[in-house]
Amino acid sequence: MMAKQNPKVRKMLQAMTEAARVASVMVDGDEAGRIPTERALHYVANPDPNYRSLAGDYYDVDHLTFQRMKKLLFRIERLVDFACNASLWLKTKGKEGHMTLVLHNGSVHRYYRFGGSRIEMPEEMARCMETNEVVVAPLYHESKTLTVLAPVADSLGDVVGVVELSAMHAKAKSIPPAWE
Amino acid sequence: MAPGLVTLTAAPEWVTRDPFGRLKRADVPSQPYGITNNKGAVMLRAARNGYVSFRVLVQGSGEYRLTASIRGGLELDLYKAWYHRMHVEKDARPEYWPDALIPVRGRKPFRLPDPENAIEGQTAQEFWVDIFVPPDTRPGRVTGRIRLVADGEATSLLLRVRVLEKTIPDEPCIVVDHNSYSSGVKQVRRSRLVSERFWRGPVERLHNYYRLFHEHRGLFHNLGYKQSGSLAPIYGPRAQGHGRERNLTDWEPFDLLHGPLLDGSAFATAAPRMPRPRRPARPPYSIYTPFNPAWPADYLWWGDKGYEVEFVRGVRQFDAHLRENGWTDTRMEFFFNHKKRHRSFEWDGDEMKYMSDAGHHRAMIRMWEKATAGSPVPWVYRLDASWQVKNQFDVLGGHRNFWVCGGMVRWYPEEVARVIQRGETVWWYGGAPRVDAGTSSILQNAYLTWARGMHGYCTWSTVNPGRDPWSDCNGSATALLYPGERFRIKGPLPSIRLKVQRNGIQDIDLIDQAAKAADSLDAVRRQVSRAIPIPLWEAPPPNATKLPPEEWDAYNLAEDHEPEHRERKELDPFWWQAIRKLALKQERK
Repeated sequence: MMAKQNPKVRKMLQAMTEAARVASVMVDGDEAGRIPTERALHYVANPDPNYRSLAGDYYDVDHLTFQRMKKLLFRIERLVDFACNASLWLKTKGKEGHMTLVLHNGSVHRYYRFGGSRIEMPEEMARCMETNEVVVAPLYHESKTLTVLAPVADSLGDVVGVVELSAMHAKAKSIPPAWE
Repeated sequence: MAPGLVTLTAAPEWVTRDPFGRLKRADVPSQPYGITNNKGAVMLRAARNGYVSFRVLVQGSGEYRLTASIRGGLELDLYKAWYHRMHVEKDARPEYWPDALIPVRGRKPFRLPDPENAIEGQTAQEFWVDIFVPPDTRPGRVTGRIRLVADGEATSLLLRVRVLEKTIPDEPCIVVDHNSYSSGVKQVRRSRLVSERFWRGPVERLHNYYRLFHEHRGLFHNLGYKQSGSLAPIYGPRAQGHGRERNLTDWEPFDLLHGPLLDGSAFATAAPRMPRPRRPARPPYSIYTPFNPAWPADYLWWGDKGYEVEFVRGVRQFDAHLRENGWTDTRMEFFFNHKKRHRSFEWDGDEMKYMSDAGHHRAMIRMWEKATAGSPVPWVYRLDASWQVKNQFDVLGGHRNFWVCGGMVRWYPEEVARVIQRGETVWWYGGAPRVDAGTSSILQNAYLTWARGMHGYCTWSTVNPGRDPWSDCNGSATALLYPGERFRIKGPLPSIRLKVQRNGIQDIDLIDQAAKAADSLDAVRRQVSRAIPIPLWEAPPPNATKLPPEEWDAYNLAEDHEPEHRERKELDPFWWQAIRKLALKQERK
């Protein structure tokens, strides 16, 4: 598949795949699970039908764990020499087949939608978690991103989430305005 | 009505009719109220340096011409109202209500039904009339005329304006603010990031928003950065280098947007097709800055010495740039808008729900004060506070604070008074009414601000009228102006709601000015609040006193905390008349 891509895209994907391998080793699934509070996760899985902002109002995190993870993801995304942003997704406890964004850096993402608490697990995320392998997401997507996913495992070896690494596609006609 | 027969009537500004001549239900007053005398002349009273407004209703069918004139140095602006087709479920009958105002120029004839608005069976068309009374107008009577010609027959409305000695002050006594987020910027190719030519269009669009709100006695705010902290170059310079080498560079796009605002020159020009500027061209009261947790310092270093070095360098360089350009009149807001629910940062900059986040604010305040110590730039630490407003007043106050409080602030009159007493600025925020709400309902916000003794009101979203405000209007509660492109106008259009609000601010300014001159502001506030059936303050719900804010939610408080406009059905549509009367009360010789 990679052979058919233009050289710049291929080079970017290679670099992101390497970074994703580092992420799969460095990111601790148990630590990731301690970032959102239990109550926050409850409302993510069980949004209130009458007050849609309740899940957001009750969203809270452990400061230090969040900071450590955010800084780790900063370092991982800087393993590549182009603008690339990292996001950490965990399985949504109590809502099979859904993923919750725990934290993200920057503004380049494939899956997050503003204000959303969780998403249905995309096929490539499911594949990444089932195989415990780094996965390159489909190249053409409305987000115009190149995206590589790294599995995140806990101390039992169970894959509990993924790290998303996204960069703007080399052929993208426009990019979000940013000074990053 | 017989075909070809067209009639002309005048109506007060607070009365809205649909395209079939029917009154908006929420606008039906408890007592009949008109603005014409028994001879059919429109009778108006106006202070100088401000506007008096009314509506003209043309009813019938066929082609007609409408012109207006005024004497005595007064200036008359005529606008045709657009009837917004309100959103309805499939097969339901839609309602239409006027709001967007299209300036009328030239002598082009109109038609009923209006082919552009395309409402089947339309029999009525509203026009909005603004009469501006320049500050040097001689008090006395001035006449004007609205003239309608249809089917060769002419009919007219005589206007009689009594110009009072009173003069509305140039600067409003309260700030009515209109907020938006990263308006005018969508996506940009990296190669164009510093291209002045590329940014000219978005900057002109933003300047026109600033101009239109300014001319309506308001302020415009446009936050440049996103939840992630990323920002477009017109909102802040590039932060380059690391640690002690961190520098702000590439200022040109930022200066293109901010220079004409901060020196006031942007306001010397009107927005496209709008009347000449009538308000002085002065820098705005306050403005957002691009500072956020990820700019100008790299958040990788948060909590470490590198962060403070980068942060303080960045703020100092920003401050120096303002000073070098002489941009020292506008309050520069150091403001964190991010919320942890959006997952970029672990703390709430905006509407803090958990007091455990206060430490981040304290750290930011400490660094910001260190960076701006001794600067002539009027920096303020803006905090938008809702759940924790009472605690934040205590814990984060005393630092050139600028508080913008959610609706829950109505539970804390004593705390607000104390914060104002210690010299801090207190605004509150909320929404604007929908297009189909009672017309005078928008005036609550300005009234409550002044009557509570607060300094300003922020309407949280004001330039986003929805996907299709013209033929599938969602109520446009998040807009007080509209894009003019549909009418070949390269700038925004004002709304009826914005004009009603402007006229209300004028009234408050007159009352406030007179009360201050008589050294009786508190007494006048009490007098007015006794006459107006809107409670200034309210007791908190029981759970708000029993539980900490961390535990509050829409259920245990029995209310949502979203910034939505509160409709008060008990209010008479003409409730503002008591305030208008007081504002225009004739001076005793």
